Amino acid sequence: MIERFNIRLPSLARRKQFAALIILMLVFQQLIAGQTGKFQIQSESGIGSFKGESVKIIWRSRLNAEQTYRWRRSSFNWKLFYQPELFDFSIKSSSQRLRGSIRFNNRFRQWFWTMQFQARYFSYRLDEQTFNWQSGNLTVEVLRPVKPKIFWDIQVGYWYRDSDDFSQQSLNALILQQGISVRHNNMLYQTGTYTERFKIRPRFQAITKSNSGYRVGLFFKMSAVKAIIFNSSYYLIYHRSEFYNRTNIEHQFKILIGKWLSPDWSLLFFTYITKRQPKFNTNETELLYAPADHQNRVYFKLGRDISKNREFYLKLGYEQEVLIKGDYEWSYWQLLAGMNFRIK
Amino acid sequence: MNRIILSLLLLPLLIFAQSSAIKALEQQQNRYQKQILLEKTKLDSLNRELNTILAQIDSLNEQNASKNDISDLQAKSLSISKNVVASQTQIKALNKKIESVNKKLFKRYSRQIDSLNRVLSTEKDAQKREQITRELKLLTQKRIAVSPALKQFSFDPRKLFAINLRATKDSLKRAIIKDYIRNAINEVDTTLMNLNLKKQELINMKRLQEKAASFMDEVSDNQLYTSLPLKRGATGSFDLSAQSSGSRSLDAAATIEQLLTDLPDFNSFINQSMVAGDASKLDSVLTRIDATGKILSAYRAYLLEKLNQ
Repeated sequence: MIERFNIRLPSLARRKQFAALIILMLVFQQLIAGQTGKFQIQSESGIGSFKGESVKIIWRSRLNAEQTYRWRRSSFNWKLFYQPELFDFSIKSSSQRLRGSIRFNNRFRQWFWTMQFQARYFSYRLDEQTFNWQSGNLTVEVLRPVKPKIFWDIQVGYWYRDSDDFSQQSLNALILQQGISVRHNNMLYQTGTYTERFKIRPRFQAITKSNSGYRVGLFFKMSAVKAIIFNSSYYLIYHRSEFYNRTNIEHQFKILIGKWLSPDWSLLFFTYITKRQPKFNTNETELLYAPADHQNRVYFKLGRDISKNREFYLKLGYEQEVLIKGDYEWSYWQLLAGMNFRIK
Repeated sequence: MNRIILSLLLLPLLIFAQSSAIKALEQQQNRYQKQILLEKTKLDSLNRELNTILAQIDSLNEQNASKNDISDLQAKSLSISKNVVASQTQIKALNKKIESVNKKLFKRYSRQIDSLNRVLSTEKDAQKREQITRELKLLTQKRIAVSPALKQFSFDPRKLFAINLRATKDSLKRAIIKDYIRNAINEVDTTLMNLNLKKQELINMKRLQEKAASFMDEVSDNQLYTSLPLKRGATGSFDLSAQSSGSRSLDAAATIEQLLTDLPDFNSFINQSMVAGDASKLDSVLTRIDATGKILSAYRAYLLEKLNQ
């Protein structure tokens, strides 16, 4: 399936991987030396398979580090996430994910604001081909209580994404999301509007044209935390661009549930479903818009705390991706057992 | 190093400044308490007067006395009633003032205790150490007396401070007082037990939130806005509790008071902190629970000391 895209290897990928590892080592050193922070190592392995392909052995490791500095009315936090992954213990079939963020929070009278920069890098290698994408976003969020249980929330952000996969494109977008949150008993209800203005340019091919467009819509969210964690959201987004001059409707559902089954056993469930109608029908993928998150998925995780800082877990997941062209679709399942160690 | 030397030099100055502020606040507290006593005496006498007039009106009504006689008394009772209401309002206002002074004192005592503890940790002279320890004990008792943690008990915790079993020679009286102290200890124990249960509940919630955050990191790429509400960073979210409670600041005293007033059902308070989906916010609630637990334990120890007098 992947051969169809005929992707070339980006030259910077290896150097970026080294740089990422050096940063992680520095972070680890800082965490060990510092007084606050969190450092977590996770290792999991099991089996998984793409639809129509043989079952593969998966090995995955995860490093999570973060540190927070607090003052009276502000806080600063940095976070790093690194995840290498091997299929059938071969470096030829592997992937790497690196994520980092810095965040600054402040409270001024009744105004709460947050500024955050987040960067992500993902590289997937299969035989002689490598697929990469990197993205980043700078967001500013302002929250203001209008009444004791009602809050007004606005988020403004800039988002970029460079994809070296099937689409080979650069995407730049400005996003505005604003809405009202109402707290009633143990529940938080949120609703508001979503507006995105984007521009896409091809990265490698000699196509001079670009594509710009709008995505506007509404969202509804509901969350509760008590003995059970429940978070859900629904986005209804209308999409229109100059390249594909036709309105496209997108639905996004997300649900996260977490519950203690006993003092040591926990169960987590997450599902994300996205649906777009009608599908795009073009071969010029370089100019087609792909949402930030377009894989349908469902995951279960059953965990048992062995000690305060160690957890054993079983994870079952299924993912399905409908590629932006609409012609291709792949699905993937995995069953994994893993250990989570919290060092600090 | 320089910072340590500077702080050691400034510490006595700080303690002196705090002592002066405490003295001023204690004087203010005494003044308000005296005013309340006076106002209460006045209220009692007004109530007595009112009751007498009401009894007279009842008796005149029974005797079918003339309307003029009754209306005179009714006018008098109305005027006294107005005075009673005014006096009650005054007492309420004074109580509020005392409460506010107590909150300030609670904070000042806590700071003073912290400063003295720091001095104690560096002091080598045995005599000075003993003096500081005595001062610390006195301050701890004073802090207990103004602690909002004691407000919700059915007994009056401050009255127990005045009890002196050694001075009570009558065996029956001694037995009654001992029984009273024992009941107070039981009540403090029940509250401490509830507090520990809530603490455990919060710890479980925090653990579950951390697990959910980690799970989201694994299975979702947390892309941009669509993911934000599901996982607003573990450390980065807003403290909605301060807002939803309507207060401008969540000072330690107010929070402890809120915690205990809401007991045994203070889930609503916890949820205020939880709506932001932030496990780290729970840390501050847990710290406050611990602080409340410490004050109650200190009060319990004090009651035990009284019981064994």
